[in-house]
Formats: sequence, structure tokens, C-alpha cells
Amino acid sequence: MKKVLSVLVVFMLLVSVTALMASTVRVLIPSDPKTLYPADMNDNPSEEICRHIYDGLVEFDENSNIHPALAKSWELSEDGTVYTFHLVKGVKFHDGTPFNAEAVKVNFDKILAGGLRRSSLFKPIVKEVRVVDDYTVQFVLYEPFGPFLNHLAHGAGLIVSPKVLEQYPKDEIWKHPVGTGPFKFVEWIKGDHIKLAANENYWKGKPKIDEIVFKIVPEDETRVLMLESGDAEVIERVPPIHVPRLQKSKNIDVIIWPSLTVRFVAMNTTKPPFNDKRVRQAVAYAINKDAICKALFRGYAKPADSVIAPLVNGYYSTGLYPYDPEKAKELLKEAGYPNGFETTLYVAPTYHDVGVAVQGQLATVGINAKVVTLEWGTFLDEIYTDPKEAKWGMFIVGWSPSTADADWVVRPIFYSENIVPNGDNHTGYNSPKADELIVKQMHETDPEKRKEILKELQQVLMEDAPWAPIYVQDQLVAKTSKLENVKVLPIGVVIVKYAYFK
Amino acid sequence: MKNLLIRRLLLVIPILFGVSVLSFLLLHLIPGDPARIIAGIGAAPEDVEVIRKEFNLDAPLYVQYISFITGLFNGNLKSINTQDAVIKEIIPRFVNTFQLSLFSIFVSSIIGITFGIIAAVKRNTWIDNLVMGFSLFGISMPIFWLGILLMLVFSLYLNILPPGGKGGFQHIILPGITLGVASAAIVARMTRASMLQVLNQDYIRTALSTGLPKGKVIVKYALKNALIPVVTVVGLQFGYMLGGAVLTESVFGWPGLGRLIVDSIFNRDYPVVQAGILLIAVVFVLVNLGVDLLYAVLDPRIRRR
Repeated sequence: MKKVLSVLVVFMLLVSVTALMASTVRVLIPSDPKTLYPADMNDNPSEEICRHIYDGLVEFDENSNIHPALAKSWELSEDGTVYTFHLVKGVKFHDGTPFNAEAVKVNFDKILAGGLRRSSLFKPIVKEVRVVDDYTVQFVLYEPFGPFLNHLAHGAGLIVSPKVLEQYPKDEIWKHPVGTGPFKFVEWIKGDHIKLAANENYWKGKPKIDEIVFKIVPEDETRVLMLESGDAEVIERVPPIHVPRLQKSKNIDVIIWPSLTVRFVAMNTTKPPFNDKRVRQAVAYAINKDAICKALFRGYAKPADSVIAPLVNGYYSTGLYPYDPEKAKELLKEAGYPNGFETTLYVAPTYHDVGVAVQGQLATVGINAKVVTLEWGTFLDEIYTDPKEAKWGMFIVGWSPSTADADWVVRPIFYSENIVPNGDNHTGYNSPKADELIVKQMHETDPEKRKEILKELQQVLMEDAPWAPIYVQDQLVAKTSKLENVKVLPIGVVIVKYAYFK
Repeated sequence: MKNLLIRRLLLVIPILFGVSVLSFLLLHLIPGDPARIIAGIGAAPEDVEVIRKEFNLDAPLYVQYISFITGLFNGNLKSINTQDAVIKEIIPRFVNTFQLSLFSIFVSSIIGITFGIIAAVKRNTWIDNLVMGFSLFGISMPIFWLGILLMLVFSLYLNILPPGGKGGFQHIILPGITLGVASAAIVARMTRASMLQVLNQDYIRTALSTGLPKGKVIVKYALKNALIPVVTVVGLQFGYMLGGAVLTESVFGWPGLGRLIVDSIFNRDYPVVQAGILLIAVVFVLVNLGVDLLYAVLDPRIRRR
């Protein structure tokens, strides 16, 4: 009897402890955020946490569509250069400061003044921000800019309390993260965790969980173990090998959601043999994308058929290039390389496996590529060298447009004015036709017309093949099945602000 | 004694100067532009320029070195990565590393010395073989393997200890044991060797022949004399641990100094790496000094010199 009683007591204790814990969500992230000042951040962990503390004028959903947030509606002037936003009324920042048009202006004036790590998202585009009345604000652009709403939805467009911006110098703002968002900042123990508490007065209603703790756990295996042992509710970057096992568990759900990152083989178009379009196409035909997705990612990656990923605004499925080694050999022969050639394939350690797989596949058509694996910083040095002087013949890396719009791929990467060292056009690709379409899509404000231009542009880029896109990797997030409504955004952040326990 | 202390402390200054210059040069020798790495691959050239200007990264090397040293003294040194004061980045991490090291060295000394004594006393028996076998295992097994194994058993199956992160005392147990076991193996080997030497000496035989209990002879007469090399090894191990245990820290999500420095090297966060290495050098020198002083406590002959 005594034994039964003590077991009962322990059981009740356990139940009450879990009840107490029930409203805390612990999210395990692989690395420390760098800052909590949105306009000064350029890493995913920072953006993820900022998106719980702050709201923007507009926001992304899990399909990269844009929805109203602090701006309930907007219109664009006839000439395409003035956006007028109507703001939500009665919203207050966590420090009690009212949110209004002036607050928006203070935020963007600071960005337009320059010197922040994301100033370049707005500075070349926005001429000025005008307060029309308390709840109406205008963005005056230099020229019509098609993807402007995507830039606003970017993490850098999250609105910080103007009081904080005025009170503290630039490099101390991150210590005072005050927004209008559903969660308030509590503490940041560097290298360990960041704690947020529910904002009782959130303008869209009080969140259903009381607390979020973002814990930093760098080791993949440890994150999985911590979820399984009940020491975490949500974990990010699950290794593909664990997914089938976790899916079988009754207490755990795995969320598989596409990213925006296209991994590709870039070719140096300024030097032989890759200055010949046919050689580049041969490379694209010779890569067995399906096999790479299956063998290296256990199917949690999809073959890419454009330079941008499916969930990026403006994506068009070109259907290129199917795996066809015979066609590749034919093209090589036409280009004057019947016996293939020797070249180099530069990779950073993360892509070493992909590099070796591509190397093997290229060898079957006669292209002998030597894989050169360099540490990340050194690798960046190499690919940010003028392509005419660069040592690499090919390299593999990933590119993710953080604005979720095609413009942030095609303009930096393929516009001839952005050839390294002036920008991110590493391959030295220079096509008047592509240039014309890139400029045209940038200034087109009609979404449908813009889509058409981007479709043509993607066909041109795939045909010219400065890149041979390989795959778009899925994001793998696992959570306890008790927790509902966890969302994974394609830009690479997990949103738990709407989550609740069953 | 006092002279020894002063002499050794004075020696710290040239050592630190050497370490600071060497670490500075080595770090700048690695290719890779910190501004580009921090800004990321998608960053606009203007964004990269912002960071380069802010941290004076285009200045000549000697200017950067001087600004590093002055920044160190007036506390203005900032991390390129987080823009926070370097002191605020490093000190809390060092405190965590210190806690972990203290616990690990405790684990390692207790296990290592006990096993070493047992192996020496039971020399060439199966017990000796077993203990030395364990020691070989301890030296050879990879940290991440042992760490994950301990986690599987104690966190997942038995569910009595948390698998990772920092929190109460129970959070330190698994990483502490993981880190401690590897060094316990080294301590055990040293203790065994040193004990064997002492046990063969005449005064031990004399003590035993006078009928003193064996346990007392071993602990009171033999062990005390055998401890000097053991203390040296434990001190060195402690010094290494205080430099941060990257693998253990990563596996258990322990926010220590090792992880910070390695991450900072990958980010080319020069100020953090340099300040971190300097701190490790200071600590290492101090630990060694502590070991020397312990010799004096253990051996009256050294005290008199």
C-alpha cells in the first residue's frame, strides 16, 4: 500500500511539473545569433529570434507569399515610385511607445543613413520616407522597383521602438530589443540561450505559450537526443539519417519544408573550356541530380531546374537539364573536346561530398575535375577573385535570396555590372540579352508582367548555363507532437509564435 | 619561495608578448577576409565595406596590432562578429570552462589516482591488466563517441540526467565525466609508474617489515612521495582543459571558451581569437606556477632551496 502511495505521489509530482513546464517552448538552434538589431543582421538564427520580438509592415507566410502585418493595406502610385502604407492603429511597442508613421520613419531613416549591415537593401532604392499623418506613411523610390514588398518583408524591415533607436548608439541597439511582436525579450546568455516571454498586450491577441527559450546546441546528434529525451520541444537541422526513425515515433513529428537555397556548379565563363556554352551545357547534362538527391540527402532534396528555387517569387520550371551523358559527350565533341579535358572543382568542406559525386559523374563523360576542398574563409577568397584571374574552373556553393524574390538571385549573380570584384557575379557571365531582362524585371511593378519577364530570363540563363543548378535542399525540423502550429519559412527560419500545446 | 614567485611572475610578461605577436601573425596569415565572411555570401559589396571600415580591417598590420593592444588595455576591443565588447564575450565563457574543468579534473584525479595505486599494488595481476586496459580505452576513445553514449544511457534510457545545455549541477555531470575520463587514463598511467618506483625503494620495505599496516604504508609513505610527477600531469591536464574542450563543449552544448574560439577562427573574428589565446596563455602559465608551488608543499627539499 505504502509503495502504491509513493508511486502515486511521484506520478502526481511529475504531472504537476509537466503542467508547469507546459507553456514553455524550447527550440534548439545550431548556432548563436549575432545580433538582435534587425537592420544590422545577416544570419538565420538572429532573424528567427527577431521575427518573434518584432513585426514588420508586411510579412512572409510559409509559401513566401506576402501578407499585411503592421501595415493593414497599401497602394502604389501610377508611376510606380510612391508606396503609401496605412498602418494598424493602437499598437504599442513593448516599452509603451506608440507605433505610428513617425516610428516607421525613424527606423528607415536610420537604415538609409547607411553604415548598417543591411543598409544596401534599401539605400539604393528608397529616396525618402514621408509621414503623411499619424497612421499613413509613404516610401518614395528613386525608380519603380518590382520586388519592393519583398524587401520590406525581409528581416531588415522589422520595426524597432524609435525610443531605443534614438537613445542608444548603433552598436548598442541590439542589447535593447524592443519591438511590437508577440514576445518580449527577457535575457540572452551568450553561447547558451535566449529567453523570450509572451507579450500579454500583443495587438493580434495574447500568444498561446508563455515563454520561448532558444537554446544553442551545435551538435546535430545532441539536438536529436534532447528532443527524444524530452529536453526540447522543437529542434532544427535534423540530420537526414534520423528522419525515418523520428517519423515512426508517436511523440515526434518531422516537418519537411523546402528551402530557398539552390546549390549549383558555377563555371568560369571567361576562360576555356567553360567560355564555350556547349561545354557548360555538357556539364549540366552530365550531372545526375536525382542520384545526388537520393544518395546524399536520402531524398530530402529536390533536383533543381532553374537558377532559383520553387518557393522564390518568380520561379519558372524550365525542365532543364535532364540527365543525359550521351548528349553531354556529343556537345563536348562539337565544342572540340572529343576526349574531354582536365579542370578543377573548388568546394568548401560542407559541399565536399557533393563535389566528389559531381566529380565522378563528370568523369563518365571525360571531364576530369580535381576536387579542391578549402576552408570556408579561404574558399570565399578564391571565388571573390576577378574571374579572369581566378584559379578555379568550377565551384559548388549555395545561394539563397533572403528577400524570397528572383531579383536577389539574378541581379547580383548574373548582371554584367556585378562581375566580381564589383558584386557577386563570380562566373563573369556577360550577356546583353540577360542584362536587358534583369533591368526590365527590376523596374516592372505589375506582378503578372514581371513573371513573364522572369520566365524568359530563367530560360536564357539556363540555356547559357553559367550555373548548372543541382538541387534545392529541404529544411528538416522536428517537434514534439504535443505542440501544434509550428511553421517553417522557406527563408530558413522556424516560427513558433503561433504555436500551442494540444 | 617569494623570489621564485616574483621571478616566475615577471617571466609572464615576455611570454605574453610573444604569444600575442605570434597569434596575431598566424591569424592574419590565414587567407580569408573577415568582412566577407561576416557579411556572408549574399552580401552587397557596400555591406562588406561597412564592416571592413568599422573594424579597421584595411589598415596595415602593425596598426591593427597596436589598436588590438590598446583596445585590450582600455576595454574598447570589440568582436567583429557580434559587435559586443570582447571582455563580455570571453569572460562568461571562461567561467563556464573553469567550472567544467574543475569538475573534470576532480573526476580525473579521483579515478586516475585510485586506479593507478590499485594497478601498482596489484602489479602484473589481472586487476592490473583490467585497470590498464581501461586506461588504454580512456586514451583511445573519441570524446564525441563516449559523450553520445553517456547521453543515450543516462538521458534517453534512464532519463536521470539532462543531455545538454547549461543549468543546475546535474548539467555538468555528463560533460564532466566525458572530459574527465580521457585525462583520468593519463593520470592513472603516471600514478602507476611513479608508485612502482617508490614501492621498490628500501624505506618502504623497511616500513613494511616493521609491521606497519600495508594500507597505511601505501597511502602515507609511498603515495606522498610518488605524487610529484602525478601533480605535474594533473596540472598540465588542468591547463589544457582551461583552454577549452571544443569537442565536449559542442557535444553537450556547453557554452565554453573552446567553442567560442573555434567559431571565432572560422569567422576570422580576430579580436576574440587573439584575446582568447592570450587569456589561455595567462591561465596556462598561472596553472604551471601553481604546480611548482605545490611541489614545494609536497617536498620539503624543494621548499628549502
